[in-house]
Amino acid sequence: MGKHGGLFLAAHLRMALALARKKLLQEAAYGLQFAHWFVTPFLGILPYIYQARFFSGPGTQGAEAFSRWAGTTEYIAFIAIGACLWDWVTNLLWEVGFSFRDEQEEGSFEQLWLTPAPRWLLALGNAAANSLINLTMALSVLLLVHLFFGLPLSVNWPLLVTVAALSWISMYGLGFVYAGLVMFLRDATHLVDLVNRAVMILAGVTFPLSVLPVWLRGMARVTPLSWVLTSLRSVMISGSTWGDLKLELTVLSVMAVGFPLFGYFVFRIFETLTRKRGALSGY
Amino acid sequence: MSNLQTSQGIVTKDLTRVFRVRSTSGEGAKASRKELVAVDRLNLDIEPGELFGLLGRNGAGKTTTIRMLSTLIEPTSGRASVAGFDVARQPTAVRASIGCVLPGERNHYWKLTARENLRFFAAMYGVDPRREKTRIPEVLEIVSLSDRADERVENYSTGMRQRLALARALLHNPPVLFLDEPTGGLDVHSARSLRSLVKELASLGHTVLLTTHNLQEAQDLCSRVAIIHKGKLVAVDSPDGLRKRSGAADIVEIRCRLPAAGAPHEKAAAAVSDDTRPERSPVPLIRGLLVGCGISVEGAANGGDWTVTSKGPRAASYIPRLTAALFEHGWEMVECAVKQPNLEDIFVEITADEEATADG
Repeated sequence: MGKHGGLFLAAHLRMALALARKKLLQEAAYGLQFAHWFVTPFLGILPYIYQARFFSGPGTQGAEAFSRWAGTTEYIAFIAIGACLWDWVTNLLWEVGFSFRDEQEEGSFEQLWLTPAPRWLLALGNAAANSLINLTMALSVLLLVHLFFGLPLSVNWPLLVTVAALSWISMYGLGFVYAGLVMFLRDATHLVDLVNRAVMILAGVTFPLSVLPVWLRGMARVTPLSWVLTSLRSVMISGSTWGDLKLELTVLSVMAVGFPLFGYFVFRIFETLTRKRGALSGY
Repeated sequence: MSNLQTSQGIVTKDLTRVFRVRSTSGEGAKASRKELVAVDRLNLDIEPGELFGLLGRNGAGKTTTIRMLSTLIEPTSGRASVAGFDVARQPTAVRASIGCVLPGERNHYWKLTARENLRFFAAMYGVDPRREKTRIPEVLEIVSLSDRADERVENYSTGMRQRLALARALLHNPPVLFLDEPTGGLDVHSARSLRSLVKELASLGHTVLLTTHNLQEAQDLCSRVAIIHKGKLVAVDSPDGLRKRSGAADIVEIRCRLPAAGAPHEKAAAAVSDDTRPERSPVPLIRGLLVGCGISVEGAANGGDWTVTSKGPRAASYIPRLTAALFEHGWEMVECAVKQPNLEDIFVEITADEEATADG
């Protein structure tokens, strides 16, 4: 370790890896977790797919009608990708807070807070393993959908990785606000439910935003998650190019810079308030 | 704010913590917030390498003090330094310089083994990877967990978990250790082995701040103890110093009996006393001798023997007078013992005094 107050980058990296490793070891201790990671999400999107197939009726008429709203006839891909990415994006958003909540419930939160590791690293490192798990989950679900329903996977991979990375950073940044709330309020699960349900509508998870009333469409336009979902969907279904996504990439870039700064600022405020209140140990 | 004179040990200056708590005055009454002073202008100066005990009743402010010193909660006012670092201004440096054993068993990762727990915390404390390889077996050896290091913590007993907590606190070899009731909930053997470990750590140069309910433990381990009551420091000294200062009572126990009638000793006694056959107890005689000395006298008969207990300041100094008087009145001495007050007696006396003062 370097001089007090300044830990080197290598030490930071070790800390982040240790946090991720610890989380994976904990997860691996429960045998059924693997089924939960890979099977449950796939099962979760099947009802949406079959419901859509039922509503589309026989032949291609339904798909054509769908295309007038969504700009694509690939309604199964639209729904499957929407639902799968929705899981991924919301996990990104909440997992920093959830990982703190896990520590609180385990009883190890204070012990973690007693270490000299930077606070942001405790938050990020703890969630890193979840990120890895979530990414694996999302990819495996997409693969299963591809195998069972013929999901088209001809995408511009560099563009997809760029959009996914920007989404990742911005959602993680915003997730710090929730992590701060978990620390301060201890249990903010109800907030997650409320936001999830509201944003599920505003991000157009299983339907195109164009079906929303005009006033709701306006709200959807300022919902960060709708930008993330729309951008990812257009790369994966419509085969959008860099040029097609100029506006989306700009908005996502601004979010990727702004949200982490904003999130961390709010997180530090909550941390200070929690220490002032003397409530780090509660849960 | 006054300057805080820092040392490599632990220094607090007017350290205060006030909590705002919700309370209701009765059924159906509206909840209101009231202020609770958990620690009230605490001043401590703990030398480097000292094993210092913090004693107090439940809720006296011991744990709050440790939480402030370990940066888990912010002081409301006042200052503190640990290992030369200010807890409010240099929290990261403080955290790097301390090892903590907090109450409760759930502060390990139960699904991980002891070794995995230690590896994790070694990384979090920034222990050099090469050093980690030797340090983890070292601390496991210190706490006698080497044989069980690769078992999950969920299979450990309470005592083993507590020892693992100590191992974790020692990983980065911190100059200061905070041990918050480390033997709480342990069986006699585990507690004893942990105590000897703590003593050893202090002898290796660690500054140790120990809170405990077990006053015998404090007396055996600590070079100095502080007694806090309702958040206030009411006494700080070595256990011996406290004993001398407190004026706590000496306890003198005299066991005596009247010889059988006609025995030579009885005849001798009859010659020097008018009251040759006192059918009463020796208690009135002793009480009479100690009137005005502030010493209480109680007696109990057991068969033909009487045990008279005198309790009060410097009671032991009256022994020659008492034994002479008893002899004069025909009593035969069987045994005479003086008990020094222990830390528990002093603690009870001091906190009771404080209670009385507070009640006005």
